[in-house]
This record gives sequence, structure tokens and C-alpha cells, in this order.
Amino acid sequence: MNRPLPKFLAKLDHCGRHLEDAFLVLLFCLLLALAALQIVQRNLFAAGFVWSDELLRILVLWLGLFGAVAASRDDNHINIDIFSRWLPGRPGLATRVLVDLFTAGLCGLLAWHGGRFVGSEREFATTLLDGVPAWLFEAAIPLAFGLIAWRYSVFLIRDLLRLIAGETKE
Amino acid sequence: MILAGLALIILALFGAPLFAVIAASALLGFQRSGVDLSVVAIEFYRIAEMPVLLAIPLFTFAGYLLSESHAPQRLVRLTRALIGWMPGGLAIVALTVCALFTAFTGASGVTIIALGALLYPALREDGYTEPFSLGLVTTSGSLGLLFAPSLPLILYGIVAQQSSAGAGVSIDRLFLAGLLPGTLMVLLLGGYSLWCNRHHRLPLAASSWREVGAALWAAKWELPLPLVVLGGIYGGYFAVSEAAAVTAVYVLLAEVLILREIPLVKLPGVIRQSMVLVGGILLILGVSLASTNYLIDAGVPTRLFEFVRNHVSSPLTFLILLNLFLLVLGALLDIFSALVLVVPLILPVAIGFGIDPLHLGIIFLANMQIGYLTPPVGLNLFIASYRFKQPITVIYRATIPFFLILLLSVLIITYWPQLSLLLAGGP
Repeated sequence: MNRPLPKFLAKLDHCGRHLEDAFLVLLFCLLLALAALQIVQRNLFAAGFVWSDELLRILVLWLGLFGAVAASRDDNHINIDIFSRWLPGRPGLATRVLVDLFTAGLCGLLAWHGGRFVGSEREFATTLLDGVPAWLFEAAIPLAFGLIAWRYSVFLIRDLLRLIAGETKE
Repeated sequence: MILAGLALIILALFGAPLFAVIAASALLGFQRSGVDLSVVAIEFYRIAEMPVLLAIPLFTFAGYLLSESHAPQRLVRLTRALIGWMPGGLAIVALTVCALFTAFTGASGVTIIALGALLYPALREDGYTEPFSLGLVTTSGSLGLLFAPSLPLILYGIVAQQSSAGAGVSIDRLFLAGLLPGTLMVLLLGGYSLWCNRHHRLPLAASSWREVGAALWAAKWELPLPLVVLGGIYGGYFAVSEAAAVTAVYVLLAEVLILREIPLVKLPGVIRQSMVLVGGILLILGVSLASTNYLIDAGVPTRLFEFVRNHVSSPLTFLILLNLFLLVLGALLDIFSALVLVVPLILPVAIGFGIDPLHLGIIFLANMQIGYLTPPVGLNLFIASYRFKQPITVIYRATIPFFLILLLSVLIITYWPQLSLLLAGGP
């Protein structure tokens, strides 16, 4: 029972989704190509790029993070979900609001502390991959948690509006 | 502190994402001991310091791609041609195919969706009773967890390697350790299926070498896969993560470019779907690295070990308690969260009782496999209920005999360490 968003927001949302999907697919293709290339190089030429191991590991981190952002689009995270299955109606919706609030707040907190970690790495000028600043790669952590926080804030507003409007859990 | 912990548990029970609950507990713990909270992000970044993790997205993608192709149909046809002529043959076909398939798709419930729809009607058509067919297909959905290259096996290896006690656990030895226990499960379930249908005069399928040949030919692209994975690793050609890359590229070439069963436009969807699962798992792994680090700092594993040591004297009693604990755990938590949260805590304790870390891994996964069939969370029950449009209680009743057989095999696996350690080269 999604409320239709204003046209402008709906368009933005649509674009965001496509951008996110495209980025995820791009990351995976890069990972697959690099992993395959590495095997070919190692077996045929007994050599490889020095940085490819490191880059592959960073790509795994990024894929994990942005896969998690994609999972939160449909609230598709691993959870236990014992009670809510048997808690229909308004109490169910009310607990939903609580869970949204908790998750959004917590991810916001993680993004904030992730940002502080990235900031300190920037200060210490840590480098990766032969001289690239490490914070550029590490910035994916606060960015992804920020996006997840955003997603759950949207869920929070949606569920709260439904609660106020007296709707029940579908 | 206790109040906060209680609140977190309640939130988890109401369906809060587990990663958020774990992260919250880590933040609370570090806050209490006065550590800068950006440590959680630093710990999370350790995901980028584990080379083996590369295997997870690659194997997951290969598994999802296989399940989208017609590979399940070909696998069923081949196994049917080979063993379908036996009494109870189709039941054994179902068990074998599901086990092989789950090894590649991990334990994500994909097996029931991809194969259940194929096997369930076939079983019913061949005269197997409804409860038997439902129970068999639901149980088979997580069979094969112990076979290489299943995701939970890889994840156990990764988590064990993080602790000093399990530093020697290599994933290729884990793959070997799972082989015999996994086979035992298939054999016991197969034996039960035969015994169960001994009075049914099921029409035996005619065996024909021509059909075997045709089925073999049809499956020519999928057949080399286990050989590529296992032969590559044990022939010393490549590491586990490289085997994953070879598998992913191979499956991509075979199903998309050669067989053309998945149109290119569908590929981004498959990638997205598989990466959503990978993201879910890695997120939980990342935050639990932080929470585990806090627990180790706080000396929890040591205290746990001393507590158990003071109350439990023999390894046998420890194993019994371990089984009970893991069964309850499996009923509450999914396999991935259970692995990353609990293995770091119980690994040192188990080693203290002289249990081999490889054996512990197999015990752990075998117990968790049963968790797929136990309420309240039992994932397979819900997927089967949804897939076959049956009430959950019907599914539950249908799986009880299979559940008991699996329980028996878990006991054998637990109290007979050689079964796990024989191929892996002993303790």
C-alpha cells in the first residue's frame, strides 16, 4: 500500500535505483574480469599486476556494502522475525515503526563513526595500491551505511504515516 | 547494560535486521569500555583484508546463474536415467540432485525454488504420497551444505581462521572433511526413502543406455563443473578463490554464451539478486568482526571456557551439550549469522576439549542444517509452504520423519570424528 510519491520524487527515486543497480553490476563485472585476468596472468605468464590482489579485496568490500544497500531497498536483510509474523494489524505496524527507527538511527551512527575513521585515515595519508589515498576506498563504508540509513528513514516515514492514517499491516 | 541487551534481543525478535542488532551490541560494548567507536568501522574494513572472501560473490553468482538456466532439468534427467530404474529411484534422484545443486547454490533456499517445482510433481506422478513428497523436497533443500564449495563451509573456514585457535583450518581441508558426513546424510535419507516405499509397487522406469547417453550429452557443459572445482583445488592448480573465479567464468560462458539459456538482458538481474545475498552475509560478517573483537577484549571466550571446564568434565558431555545448544541456535538464527557470531566463542572451548576444528565445523553445519527444518525460523519450511502452496503445519508434519533421520546422522557425525577427519588427513 505504497502512497504514490510526488512526480519529481518518483523520478528521482527511479533514477537512483537504476544508478544503484548499474553500479552494483559494474562492480561485479570488474571483480569477475580482474579475478579471471589474474588467473590467466599467473598461469600463463607467471606474473601479474602487483596491485590486483589488493584491488580485488577492496572490490569484495564494496560489493558487500553496495549489495547490502540493495538489500535494504526491499528490507531484505537477514533477520529473525518470529513475532512480527503473528502480529498483524496496528500493533504489527507499530513494532515496524520501532524497528525502522532503530535501524535508521543505528546505520546513521555507523555512517558517522565510519566518516570519522575515513577522516583520520585522510589525516594520516594512508595509501593503498601504490600511492592511491586509502580513504577514497574506505569512504564506501560511511557512504553505504548512510544510504541504508536513508532507506530505513523512508520506511520509517511511510510506516509512521500509515500508522497515523489508521491503516493496518498488509 | 542488561536492559540495553534485553531491548536489543526484543528488537531482533520483532524483525530488526540482525546486522543492526549485532552492530548495536558492539557499539554499546566499546562505549562501555571507553574505546573510540570508530573502531567498528576499522573492524568492518577488515573485510578487505581477507583474500578468501573473494570466493563468496563468485560462487554465489555461479549458483544463481545455474539455477536460472535449464541445468536443474538436465541434472534431474541425467540422474533419473542413471538411477531412476531402482525401486524408490526417483526419491534417490531427488536427494542426489538437490545435494549436488545446494553445494553450488549455498544454503539460500534456491534449491527448493529451482528443483522443488521440478521434483515435487514428478514424485507425485510416480505415486509417492503427498506427505512423503513434500517432506522429501523440503528436506532436500538444505542437503549438500557439507559438500564443496558450499558457502557455509567457506564461511566457517574464514571465521575460524580469524581466531588464533583455528588458524590452521584451511578451506580445502574443510571441503574434504565434509565429504563423508554429507554422503552419510544422503545415504540415510535414501535408505529411509527405500524403506518407506517398500510396499508401494511403483512403476519402475525402464533403463535404457540410449537415454543415459542422451542425458549425458545434454549435460555435457555442467558435468565438468565439480571436476573443475575439486580437481583444480586438489590438483594444486588453484586456490579456493581462484576456483570460484574459474567456476563463475565457466558457468557464464556455458549458460549465457554457448547454451544461450539466459538472455544477456537478464544477466544484470541475476547479478543484483546474487549480490543482495552476498551483501547481507558480508554486512553481518563485518559487524560481527567488531562485536567478536569486543567480546575477546572483554575476555568472554576465556571466561566461557573456564565456566564450561568447571561444569563439564568429559569431552563426551561437552559434545552432547554442544549438540543441544546448536540445535536451539539453529532454530533461532540463520546459518550465516550463527557462524559469524558463535564460532569465535565456541572454537577455543571445543579445542580445549580436544575437538578438532575441522570436526567442529562439520558438527556445526550439520546441526544448522537441521535448523532449516525447525520452527519458528526454519527457512525451508517457509519456502516450501510458499512454493507448494501448503499450510506451514502440513509441511512441518511432512518433514518430521526426515528431521529424525537427519538428527540421527548429526549424532553419528558428532560422536564419530574419524568420519570427518579421515579424508582431511586426521587431526
